Amino acid sequence: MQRLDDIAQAIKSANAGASYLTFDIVFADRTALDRVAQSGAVNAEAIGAMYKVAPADVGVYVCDPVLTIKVTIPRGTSSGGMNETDFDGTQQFAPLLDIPVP
Amino acid sequence: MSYKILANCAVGLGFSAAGFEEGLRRRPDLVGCDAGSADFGPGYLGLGTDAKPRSSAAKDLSRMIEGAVRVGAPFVTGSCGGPGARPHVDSFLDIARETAQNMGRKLRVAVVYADQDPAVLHKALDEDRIRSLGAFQPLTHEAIDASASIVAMMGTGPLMQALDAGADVVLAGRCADPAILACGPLRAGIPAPIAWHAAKTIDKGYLATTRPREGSPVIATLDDEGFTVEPTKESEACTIHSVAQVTLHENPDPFRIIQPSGTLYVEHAKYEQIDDRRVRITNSGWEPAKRPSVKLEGARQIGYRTVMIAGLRDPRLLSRLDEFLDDYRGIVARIVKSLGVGPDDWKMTFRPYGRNAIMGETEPMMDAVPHEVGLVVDVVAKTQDLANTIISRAGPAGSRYDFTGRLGGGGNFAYPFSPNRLSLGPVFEWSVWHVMDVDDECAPFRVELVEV
Repeated sequence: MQRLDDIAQAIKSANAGASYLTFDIVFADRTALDRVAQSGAVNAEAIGAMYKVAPADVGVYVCDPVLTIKVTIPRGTSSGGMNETDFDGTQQFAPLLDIPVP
Repeated sequence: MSYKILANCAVGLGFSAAGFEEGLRRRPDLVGCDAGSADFGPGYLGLGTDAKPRSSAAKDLSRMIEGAVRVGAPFVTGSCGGPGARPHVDSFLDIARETAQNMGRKLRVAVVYADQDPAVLHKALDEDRIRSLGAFQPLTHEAIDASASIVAMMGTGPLMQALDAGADVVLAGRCADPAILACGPLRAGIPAPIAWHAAKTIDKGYLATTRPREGSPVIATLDDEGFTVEPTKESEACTIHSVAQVTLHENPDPFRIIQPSGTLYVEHAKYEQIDDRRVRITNSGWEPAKRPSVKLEGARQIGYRTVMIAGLRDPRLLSRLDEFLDDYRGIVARIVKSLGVGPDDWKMTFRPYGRNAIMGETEPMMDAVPHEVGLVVDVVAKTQDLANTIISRAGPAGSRYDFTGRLGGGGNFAYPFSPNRLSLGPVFEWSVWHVMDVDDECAPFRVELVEV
């Protein structure tokens, strides 16, 4: 079992508009991408639990040409409002690093 | 047929001048650059001020306008000033005027305003033509009226009208990023999937290259079968990865990108590295919308903000931070009540940097006890004076608070600044973040021609 942080080359976190947060988990090669994609470790249930959103609201996309798994979730609050903590959504990826990958 | 677009990343971020000159030597048919985003938050829309300092924007704009005019290509920019409302478009018009004067020649400038008349939106709401984008609450008449400013995001329609009118320079208000570049090839007869995918790929300029920090503009060469992307700076490269990842950037869905007049599908696009610097893309998909739709963005003011920064270093306080913050919240609430202020007129948020200020409830390491916390006490109140008053009283009250187990009576807070009361002005939130169905994608926008 390895942590996702040990397998992924990079993880980007950003707003996708004011109502979504999107994570791009980038791999260095196809082997690493396939291993994680096929393991099901990055799935709607795991992400939903981590970010306290309903699994039905989680989008997981495997993007072959860029060796990336994209995960999109709704934002807790719309960006830039009074309770904003991170208005570009760039520092929300930490929980992803510890995802165990078989 | 062939069509060339020269693109930069964003007005105000700079770009390689040498790379730009090289791009101009290639005789592009269009020069374009995005100028804004909703990513800056609702503040600039609400305030009517530009997101980037004028001199920064002017430096980029004047160089691009001068270069484009020199090679006889129109220059298009959109989402002027960030939010792309009237004051922002007018401020760019002013820069264009200055540029024309410096060039010693007249320029035909088309401005395209994106500001929405509330009456039109009220009608659309009554006709059930407005829906939320994402989890945003449904739009109400009250939200429309409470908004300081509302813009709609234009697609290629109004920009093509501006080009038809013979503009040398197009300064568009709020605009879908790829529309800024797709308007030219669409008008020239390039097939829609190619025009849109090429535009989407190069609308972030150097972000499509392997070394964005080199600031190289990019050129897309479009034909009837596909398009090729390359950086203009000789030392830089585009790879399949650098180019394909642009469509992922800040998009919720990497495969479908919705525009006012249709949807771009890239899931089955074919990428080919034709040499070590250039990528060719074919097999893009496009489906015209059954009915055009435009995204609406509106900002409303929710108060005025004053903050204070307090450093916490007392291990006994930090080991019971939750309890301290609960008590502190109660202390401030009593102070505010004693001022005769109603609960709706103020709101306080604690932002404990070093603990969970960034991730809030979702922070997995919330229970770890840090040795130091930067506590930002954030008050948003009905008036700036009230926010200042609450902070000025909250500071001493918190610093003096004799919490359970306290050792040192000197004060709980380490203040970095004098004065430590930081008045940050008006605070806005997005009041409108919706999509409006329209019969004509140009109807919400107004094109005006100005000679400068």
